[in-house]
Amino acid sequence: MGIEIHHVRKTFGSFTALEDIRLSVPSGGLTALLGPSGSGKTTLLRILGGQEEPDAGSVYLAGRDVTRLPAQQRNIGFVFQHYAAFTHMTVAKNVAFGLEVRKTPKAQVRRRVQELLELVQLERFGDRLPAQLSGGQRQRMALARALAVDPSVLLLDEPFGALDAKVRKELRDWLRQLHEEVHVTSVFVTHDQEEALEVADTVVVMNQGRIEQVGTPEEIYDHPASDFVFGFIGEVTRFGELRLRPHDVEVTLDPESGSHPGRITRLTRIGFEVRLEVVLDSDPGSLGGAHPPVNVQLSRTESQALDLQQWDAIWVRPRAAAGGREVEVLRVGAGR
Amino acid sequence: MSVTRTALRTVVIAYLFFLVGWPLWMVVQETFLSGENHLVSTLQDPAVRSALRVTLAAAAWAVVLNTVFGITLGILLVRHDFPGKRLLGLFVDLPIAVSPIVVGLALLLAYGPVQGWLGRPLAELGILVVFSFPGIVLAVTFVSLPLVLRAVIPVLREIGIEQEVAARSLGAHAVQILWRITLPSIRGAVTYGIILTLARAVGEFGAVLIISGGLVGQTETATMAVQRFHQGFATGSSYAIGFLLALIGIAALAIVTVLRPKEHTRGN
Ligand SMILES: Nc1ncnc2c1ncn2[C@@H]1O[C@H](COP(=O)(O)OP(=O)(O)OP(=O)(O)O)[C@@H](O)[C@H]1O
Ligand SMILES: [Mg+2]
Repeated sequence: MGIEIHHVRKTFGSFTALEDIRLSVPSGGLTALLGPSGSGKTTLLRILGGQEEPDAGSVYLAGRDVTRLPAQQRNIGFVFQHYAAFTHMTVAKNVAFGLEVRKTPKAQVRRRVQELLELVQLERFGDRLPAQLSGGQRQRMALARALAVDPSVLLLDEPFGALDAKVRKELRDWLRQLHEEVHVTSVFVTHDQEEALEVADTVVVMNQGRIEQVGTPEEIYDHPASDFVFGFIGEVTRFGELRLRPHDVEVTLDPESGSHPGRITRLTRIGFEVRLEVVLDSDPGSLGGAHPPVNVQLSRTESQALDLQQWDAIWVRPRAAAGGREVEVLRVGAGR
Repeated sequence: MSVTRTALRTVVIAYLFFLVGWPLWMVVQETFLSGENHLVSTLQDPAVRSALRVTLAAAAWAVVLNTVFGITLGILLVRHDFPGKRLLGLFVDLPIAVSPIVVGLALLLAYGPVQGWLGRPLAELGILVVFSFPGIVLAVTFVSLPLVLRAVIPVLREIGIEQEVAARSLGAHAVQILWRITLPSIRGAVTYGIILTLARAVGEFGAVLIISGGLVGQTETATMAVQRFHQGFATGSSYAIGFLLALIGIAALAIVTVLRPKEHTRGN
């Protein structure tokens, strides 16, 4: 009884923003819409929120057909990328807004606002104006405001997009926790795969107005359904005719079966991780053209065990259980 | 501080002093310091009191009409698309681009009881526009028409529709959005526009001169009384009324100055 989307289509003039979208979001889950810029994430979210009407198809929220229902009757909570705070109202008034327009009794409003401010840890800031809050606090306020009306669905459009990396990470964990407490069916848009994989329990990968794959973060990462998903969800490097994750490349000092000689042209240490750029002596595959350097990701321990230095000659091969994919696409050029 | 800056500053201050400060000071001097207190004696004249009443009442009407008009049209121009929108935008600026005396003539033509195509049917209904209070209201409203509108438009643009969309998603309907979101967020700009309108309406002379007829004690406004006293060599009285008019203008500007910086610290 979460969200059902049936064959939704949306065009802007001659441009197709969404093409035959079919999606079923389980109730109580935290779902991420993940995709590159322009893939149609916001458009889909706006259709769910009633700010945009689909050209075809229908949308069900909690079992109710809401396709033609205006936004204010859908009982959804919407959190915007740039907060959309009511700048002339105090934090408490912002949170109370949804209840006040519903003519909820004053005492009840006060109680609920207090509750929500505690939930988002802003109980001391009720009398401030939004301009007097930090970005992270403002977004928490926006979340409390959206939750005030007990929405059946919570929609968040790049909720942490305007925040700096550290606050982003904090809020991410915090959203995960909050979701465990309130359990409202939530959909959030992001173009940051790390954010999607870390926070969501279902990830919907979108590309060019279509859904590429729906699955748990593990499924998406380990068994990508298409080259696009594989490439979008994590780093990819090429080894002959294979495309694989940099951490699925094995480095040895001596030749092994299936390995190929090369030279370390760059060695970078990022914390506990070591990244290598390896130029192969020859192309292990038969695709032709110049073979790009192979990117390898090792732990510092592995790197130290082999005593790797820049310009060392080494051997590389895909790890035995590597989730590599044959690379048909490389033969026809870039793209999906 | 560099020499050029000091020099520039001196020039600016001198310019303002000789153009504004000194002449206004002369008015104050003539009113209060030329033997008797002209303000008190002038205010005892019933015709003067009537003129002040007419001026203030007409200005109040102009403020009410132009506020409603300015906010409505502002929202329409910023938030909606319709054919002829740009033309309309130009058209509403006309009243301050055209000389008030021309405005007066135009209104006389349109609303005159004899040849005015709107004036005649209205006159037949017993409503006299020209040479009466409605005409004065019409004239001062006309000349101050776009002031609220022009104050409101940039602020409406700046706040965008984000908050309105958010309010709608929270269940608010159109009227609630207007009262709780849109109007409060343009309140500063509206106040600013109102004060400008008020100052403009109170000080209007050319347009009302033509359309009001200037019947002493009836359709004479304060600015016209200044003119009458001045021509009748009752200069003390004319300075006294002039002083009152200047006072209203200065008060308006002072309020505007207090309001203005707040606009900038608003928002995110
Ligand atoms: N109102 C509109 N008019 C015309 N084209 C639009 C409109 N809204 C969106 N589009 C187009 O539809 C496509 C999808 O837009 P959308 O905003 O859904 O992308 P997105 O996945 O949210 O991207 P981003 O990550 O950059 O926010 C884009 O190519 C965009 O240009
Ligand atoms: Mg978007």
